[in-house]
Amino acid sequence: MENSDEVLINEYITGEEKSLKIIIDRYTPSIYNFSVRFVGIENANDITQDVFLKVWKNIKKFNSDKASFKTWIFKIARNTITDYLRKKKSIHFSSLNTEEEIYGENIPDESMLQDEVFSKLEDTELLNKILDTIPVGYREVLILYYQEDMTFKEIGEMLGKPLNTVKSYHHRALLLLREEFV
Amino acid sequence: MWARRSEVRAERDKRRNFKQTPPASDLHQNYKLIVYINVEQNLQNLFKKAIYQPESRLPGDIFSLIELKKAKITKIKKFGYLGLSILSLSGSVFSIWGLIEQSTQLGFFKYLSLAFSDGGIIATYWKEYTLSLVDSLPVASLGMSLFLLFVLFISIRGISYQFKNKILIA
Repeated sequence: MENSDEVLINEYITGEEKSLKIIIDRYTPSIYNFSVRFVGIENANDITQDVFLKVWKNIKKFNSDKASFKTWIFKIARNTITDYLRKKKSIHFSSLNTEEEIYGENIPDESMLQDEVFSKLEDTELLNKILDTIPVGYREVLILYYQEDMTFKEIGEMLGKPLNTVKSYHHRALLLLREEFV
Repeated sequence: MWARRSEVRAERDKRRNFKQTPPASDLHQNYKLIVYINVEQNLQNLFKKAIYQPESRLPGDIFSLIELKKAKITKIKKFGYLGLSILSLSGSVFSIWGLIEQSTQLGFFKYLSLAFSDGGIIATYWKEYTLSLVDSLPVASLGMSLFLLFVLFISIRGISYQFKNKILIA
């Protein structure tokens, strides 16, 4: 049976080196994929390494009562990517904050999303291309929700945003995807 | 009797028909729900297929990098503690030397030896004796010596901890 993240962290803190290796093996693909989406393939390895270095340095500060390890590590990844983009003076995640204030509480009915466009989709390359064009704030919600199987609540905890705002981002991201696909 | 049977049959047919053909608005809602579930499912599948996979050596590289950093930090700590222990040891030697010299000049040892030679006088004039003893004590030197001994103790403990860790990892 697989040990939970929290058990592995406790084991590592008490001196079990192998537990850290298991955590790295478990989360490298997710963090790498998340990084590629925002910094590109050429920089994703460095960002992933930075993320795990930060995790290792701060592992004793992790508190499972506050958030799950998955939420915590993605928060670190997001901050690392933001720092990187800021250094490069590119746009960053917080660019959507002002927009959120306008639309935050105005969540449209999800049934509006029904569209046969999506049901015909099979082209992953096209999806990747379109994902690159949509705003980073929307992109991260889509990736965390569909690729990392995180709930809206977890995404909200990670981004530090209310549940409704996350749902709103998701909805608008889907609308943008649909527009691009059409 | 016949009339009642036909009424019952009519009522039953009415109910059956209602079950078979729900109102148009319900049908539309169900259709929308099915389409929405399909869309969600397809989108999920598409996103899963579009995941970027890292090179297989990346987790190993990350682990090695962490081990390297750990070794570097251990080395820095070890040399830091070693330097600190050498400094505090030499400082302690000088400080204790000074402490003894100052104590002799101020007559601390004379007062102290009195305690072993004539217990009766001390018992009678214990207040005056204590004050004189405290007065002859070089407090600054004593404080400095104790502080340096404490630093020495901490640095030796740090070195032993680093060595113990290295043995455990090995």
